[in-house]
Amino acid sequence: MVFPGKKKIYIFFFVFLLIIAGFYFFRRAEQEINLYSQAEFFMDTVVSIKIGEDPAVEKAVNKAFEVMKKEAIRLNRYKEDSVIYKINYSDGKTINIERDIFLLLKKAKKYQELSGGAFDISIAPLVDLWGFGKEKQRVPEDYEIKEILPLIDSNKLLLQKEYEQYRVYLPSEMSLDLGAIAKGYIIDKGVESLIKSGYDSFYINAGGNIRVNGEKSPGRSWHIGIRDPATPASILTEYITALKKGSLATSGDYERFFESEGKRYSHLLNPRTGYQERSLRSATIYAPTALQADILSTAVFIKGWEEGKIFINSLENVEGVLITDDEIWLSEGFKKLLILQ
Amino acid sequence: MFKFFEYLTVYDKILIGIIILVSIISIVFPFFFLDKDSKEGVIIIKSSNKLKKIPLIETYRDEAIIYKARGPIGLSVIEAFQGKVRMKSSPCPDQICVHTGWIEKAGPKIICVPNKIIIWIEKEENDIDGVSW
Repeated sequence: MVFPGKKKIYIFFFVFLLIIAGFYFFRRAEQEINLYSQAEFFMDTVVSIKIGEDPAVEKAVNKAFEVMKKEAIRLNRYKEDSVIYKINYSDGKTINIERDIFLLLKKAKKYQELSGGAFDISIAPLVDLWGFGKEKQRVPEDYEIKEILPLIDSNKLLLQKEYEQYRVYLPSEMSLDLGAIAKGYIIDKGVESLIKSGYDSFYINAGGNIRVNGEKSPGRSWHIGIRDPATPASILTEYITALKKGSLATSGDYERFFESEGKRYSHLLNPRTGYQERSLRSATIYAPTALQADILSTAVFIKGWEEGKIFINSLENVEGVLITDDEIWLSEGFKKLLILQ
Repeated sequence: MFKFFEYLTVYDKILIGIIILVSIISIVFPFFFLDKDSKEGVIIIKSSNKLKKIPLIETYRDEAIIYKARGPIGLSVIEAFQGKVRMKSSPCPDQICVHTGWIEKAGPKIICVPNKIIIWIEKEENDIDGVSW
């Protein structure tokens, strides 16, 4: 004879067991999504893709890398077979270029205007004067910079569409450098390629510029941190974002620089003055596409602490984080992207 | 539905009890033990087509673990000690990887572009998929 109380104990045990088992299997299921990841070195940096594993994924990732590498070469002004090289050595003659590069240059001009000249792809002569991209860097003399500044003005880069011809004119003494735009551009191309292959959840990182699409696993966003500019090997633990779409890009004075007489000279140059801007250690931008985030992180870094904030707030769908030696500013919308609010 | 319990002998009930107990233990066990182990994490060193894994737990010794990785421009020396890892020396011109210093958390990476080496730490409880820098 079993008493009703004992029955309850059995039921209680049963339910308890089910709850634990359910919790356990749910947890297991969440972890069991294996990520396929691949990293390759090009564009002077590391480019990596993370994506949910499936039998065909390797082929799709290889395809995306192939596309990105091809685009990286097209934009590299140091490569003789690149479009940018052709434009830079066009000797003041109008030449025909492909439609996609035409549209990219058009966008670059638009952002030059929008940023009031804080971002400018015709910055190449200034980059060369400082020696970035070359073996030796040096601090130029004031007069050298003054001589070069008039050459930096994207307004003199003329784009013209005639029938189905895409034409570009660049004055012979000017030249273009797409360094502040290339990583973002190739990430977006990689995203397009993966979507075309039928994937909708993945992560692409090119030298610290990141774009994500979809969720990492059901119910779990991609968690992206921001590097602490003061210590290269650590991240800002209070500012970790959870993203399901969009891009994060950071411009910092620690990226590429040289030191002279105890002073740090970053590769991020102000196209209007010819010199570095020193109010920020880093600027991080969240934007829908990697191209936008890449361009805007450079522009905001150059604009600095005060102007940078105003600029970020004036742009739609764009958020940002500005970091100085002792202060951090986050736009209102950026706070909503954080895991810990 | 529970009428059949009336037909159970004491031994049946003991048996049921033991089965339930064993199941609970085997389900709960991984939470307490296995997770703890995986939380210790591993150091991963990726060099031209080679992947070297060093469990962090092995680095808690009196002497540092030295690992030499070959890349296209030569030999890079990696040091792992007390749960941390760094690039001790590398034949690259700019020494960015060496200047990165020690990493001890999942998230940041040590990257040597000229010698094509990436070093990072992977932890089970790691919640970070990438870092914008």
